[in-house]
Amino acid sequence: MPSVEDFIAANSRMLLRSAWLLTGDWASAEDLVQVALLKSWQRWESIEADAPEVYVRRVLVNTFLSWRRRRWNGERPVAELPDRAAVDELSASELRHSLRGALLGLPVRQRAVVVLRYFNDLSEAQTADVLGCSIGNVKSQAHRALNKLRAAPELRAFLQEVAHD
Amino acid sequence: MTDTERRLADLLHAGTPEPPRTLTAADIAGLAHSSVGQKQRRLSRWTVPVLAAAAAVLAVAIPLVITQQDDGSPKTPAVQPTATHPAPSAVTPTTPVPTSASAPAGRPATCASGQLRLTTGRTEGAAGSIYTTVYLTNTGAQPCSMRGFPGVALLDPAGRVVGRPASRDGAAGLAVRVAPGHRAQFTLRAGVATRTGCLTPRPSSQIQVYPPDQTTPLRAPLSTQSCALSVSSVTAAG
Repeated sequence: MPSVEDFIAANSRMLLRSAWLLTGDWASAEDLVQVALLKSWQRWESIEADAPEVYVRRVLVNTFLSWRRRRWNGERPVAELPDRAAVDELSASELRHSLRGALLGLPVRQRAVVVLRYFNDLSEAQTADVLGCSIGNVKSQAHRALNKLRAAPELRAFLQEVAHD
Repeated sequence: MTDTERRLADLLHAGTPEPPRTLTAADIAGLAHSSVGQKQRRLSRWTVPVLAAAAAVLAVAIPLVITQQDDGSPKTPAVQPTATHPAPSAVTPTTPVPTSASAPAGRPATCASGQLRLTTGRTEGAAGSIYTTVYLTNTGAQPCSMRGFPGVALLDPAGRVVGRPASRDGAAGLAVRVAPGHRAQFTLRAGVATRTGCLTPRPSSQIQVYPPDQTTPLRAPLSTQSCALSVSSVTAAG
């Protein structure tokens, strides 16, 4: 079991990036990570020794979902970006902007599934475990999210492009 | 994974920016006392400093507080107390102040970390706990006030947080007015091993305190153990 200090030092960067994908801005991302770490810290000794990151990720995602239920009702739609032919042509900041816009267009649960499955690289079973739902539910949420992202103007060009290789 | 899923994963890995800063255990320990850490609150990490600065501007203490707010690193105490010695036991005219929203115009500004000195007093054991009295002395020229709970953690000699930050005992109580040169106090309670579900109490050598509503911590030497810590709210020193 790592100490809390070592765990935070080793994981805060990835947690912050995940939280940014969920919330869309750094101030909220920091709040979210701090609250998740504080909650986890308060029961650190009872967390399973080999998997503190599983526990912290679960707290993070569920804290996000509970916040969203309570107060994040006013998310604003993001202005549409021009279509782009391929992601290679996007600068880093354009890519970030597109990604953010497309993700904020998803319902929060779908967004959480996308982040867990495709950014945190969890399996469907692990994702279901974090969210406390069935694997079938993860599959259907992911499916709906992918359809929506494929149709999103920000990402359409990239995600629908036919593979050349 | 389908082709689209792979593309999405690539996009997420490539497009997610690096955070402007990372977090340390000290950042999290500092939250334990503030409303930011409470479950249902969602305050930007800047909300507290901004509110504190606004209050301070109203109260004229501009230069002091600006300096303190600009020091964004909670790891570096604005004041590094040298004290091992207990604070002078002066007679203290610290008096409770009403806390209604329409506080009288005479209500002094919130005590900023930069104007407080942290010292520790008596430590005594009773009924499975070790109690330490901790003092915050107003070293400024103006009276100031504090209300509520300090954020407290224990540190090892290298400044790393030992165990978990302190939880809160009891109610927030009344605001306490502290005249220049006088002090307020709170009580730190540490559990004794075997009783409190704390399997491995670890020795600590320093105490770190965020005064109520402050974002800069103070530190002082304190040898005790970190096990099921809790703190009282700040009261007038008796």
